[in-house]
Amino acid sequence: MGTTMNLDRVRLFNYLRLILFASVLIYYFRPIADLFHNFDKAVIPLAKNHFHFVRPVGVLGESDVCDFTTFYASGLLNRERLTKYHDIDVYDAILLTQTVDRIIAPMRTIEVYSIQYPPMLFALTTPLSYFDLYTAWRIWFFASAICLAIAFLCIASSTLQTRPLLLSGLFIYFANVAVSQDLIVGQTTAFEAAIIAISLRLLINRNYFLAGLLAGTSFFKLQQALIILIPGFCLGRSRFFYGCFLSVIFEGLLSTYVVGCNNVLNFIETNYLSEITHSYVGLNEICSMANFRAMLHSLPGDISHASTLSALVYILCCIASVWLWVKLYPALQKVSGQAFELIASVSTIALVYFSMHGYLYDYLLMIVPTLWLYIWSTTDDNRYTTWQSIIRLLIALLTFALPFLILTNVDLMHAESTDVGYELRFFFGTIIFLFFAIAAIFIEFKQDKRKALVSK
Amino acid sequence: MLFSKHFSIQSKILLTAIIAMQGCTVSEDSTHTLLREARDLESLGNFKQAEETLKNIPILDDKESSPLQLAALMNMGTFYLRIRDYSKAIIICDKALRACDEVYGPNDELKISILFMQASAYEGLKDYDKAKSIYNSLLLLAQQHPQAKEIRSLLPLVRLGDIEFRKNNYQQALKLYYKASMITLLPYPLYRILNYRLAVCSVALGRTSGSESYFKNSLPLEHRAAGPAELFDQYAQILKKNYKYGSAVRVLNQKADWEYRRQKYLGWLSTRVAAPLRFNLLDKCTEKDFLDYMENAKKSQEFDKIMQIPSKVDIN
Repeated sequence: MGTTMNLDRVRLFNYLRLILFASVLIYYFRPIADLFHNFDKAVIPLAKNHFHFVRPVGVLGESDVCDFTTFYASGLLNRERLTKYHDIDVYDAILLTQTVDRIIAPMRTIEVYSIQYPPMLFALTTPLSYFDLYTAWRIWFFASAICLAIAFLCIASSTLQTRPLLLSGLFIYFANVAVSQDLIVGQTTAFEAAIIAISLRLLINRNYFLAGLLAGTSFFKLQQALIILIPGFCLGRSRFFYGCFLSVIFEGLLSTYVVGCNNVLNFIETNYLSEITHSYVGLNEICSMANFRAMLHSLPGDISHASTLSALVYILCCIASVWLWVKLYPALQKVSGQAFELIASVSTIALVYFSMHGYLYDYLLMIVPTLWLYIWSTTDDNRYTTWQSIIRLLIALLTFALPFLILTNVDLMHAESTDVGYELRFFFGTIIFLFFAIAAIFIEFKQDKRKALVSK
Repeated sequence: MLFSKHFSIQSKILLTAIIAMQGCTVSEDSTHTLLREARDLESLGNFKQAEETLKNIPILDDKESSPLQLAALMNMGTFYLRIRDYSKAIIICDKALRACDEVYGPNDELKISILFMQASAYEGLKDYDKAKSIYNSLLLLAQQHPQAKEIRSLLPLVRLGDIEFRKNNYQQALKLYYKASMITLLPYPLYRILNYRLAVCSVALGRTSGSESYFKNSLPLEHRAAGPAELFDQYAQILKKNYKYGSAVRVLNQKADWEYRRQKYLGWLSTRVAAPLRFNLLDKCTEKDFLDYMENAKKSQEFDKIMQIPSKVDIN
């Protein structure tokens, strides 16, 4: 182990970071400008004339619809239940598709759509159905954007007072493909990101009951709930559990009120039928996902065991995440002031990428590790050796470059005639990110403990 | 020990409750099962059996109309349209229109979809007057609609253009296609389809040089975009006519490249998307059916039909 750096070297690293920050801002200027330009010139006109919500693919009316159209249709279907057909099954895929057809007439859907969200979703979409499609989308869009800003602020809140320039990262975040896709297609990951970020902040503040209360709503998107539930249960234990339990009870009552008791049971039926028996064509196509499961599925050769193998890897990730929080976190906490942030970073990267159900927009959750790793890698140099500082500088660079590693539209394997190149980009990008997040934990263990304790 | 015993009893109770709950709810409604079966049988090319399955949906015999009955009727209507049994499609559309009135009221948007289906069926029967009158009424409805007028008028405009094209009124067809192509930010497949239509109209009117850019815009730019490959041939033919031999050779090279990449992509995609998800009824079809389906999907027969060309025009 080398000795910690002298003041000159610390200053040098500070200058290097400043140059990095300035060049990154200049580099991101164009995508940010493009984002606003595209929003004004393409997204809004497309939404106004509804081509954003329905994409005709043939002259006989065959069309594909965006995710928000199905959410809006679910609200409309529930409204129909409230006003006319009281015993209607709001999870009925055939009826949902018919409601989509009512919205997009004279176009017709090619596929059969099904809602797999818990009944809580209807509490959000039913009021929206009283507006027209375009207005409803605008409301959803701005609510999602506010949630994303809240998520960003919650993650960075402890550092913002000393480093207000970090706020410029919000622009970079919004220029990200995952974020813009979530906002444009009207997905729900932005809401989940806010729930996770606020709950993590509450866990840092040791407000376990409130964290549990809020984390209970993360069941809204089941596939990502473990990102907050694992640290919550490992750290908050009974207090977190009581909060979470109360939240679930409240959600159950709300669901029963919003969609009726029979539809709460229908939710289980729909998920069983569509997920397990693959009832409906086009639903949850693995090849359109962007995760480990999709990567295995895209590889040439026998793909029959791809889902089983990825399920096993996901279970291993969950076990590893529990181990990180139960075993490693207490040890790291003794030597580092940012133990929570670093362990949460590793855990989140693994649980996002190795999740069984993840699309491009789900990568907006990577803001948790990206921001925390950036803050860690650019704070307090004099505790680290030169080599450790070089690695930290690389990590700072990586947090900015990550979107370019996995989220850009740049086709790194242009000659590929399959989606393998696209999937491999996500795989390698995430593995590199995960590797550096683990390296950060190692560096924290190896740093100058005496200075670390003083700093802590 | 006591804890583990207690836990075991609790978990058994929980498990029994879950199984009981799933047992109660998981039995799928017969309308849904039959609709899915019909779709799968249709995918296998077994149209007769698919039709029988659709006819056997019990909800169709209900006296009182319901949203599910209307959905079954619309599925039946689209099925008859797909297998080109237009007379039956018209009858089913009439039934669906009546059901729609009862279920959602006379001014519901779904009626527009049903009317469009019916007009397509009349078009299939070559009863162009009836088809035209329905498309014109849809155009009128689109203009009166407070929102998204353009998207609502897009399909009727294209279909009216197709009718004029079939009646050899190329000038009128060109006008209608052009009007449709002027709609802001057209989706890429529709943009290509309309450009192709504009190109063939221009050729039919003897404007070969004018058709060049339209043909170019109709080409598939990448392997994910559907063909057919003849689009390249037709474009090359036009370029040759305009004495642009070098460009024609380049287009034919592009064609070879696109065909190679498309074939590779479809081979990859067919095993990942089409087969595993479409086959819910593996116990009801033989292995040969399954292999035939896979082979057909690989040959891209299903994927390259999106141009839906109204009729052939002799480029030469």
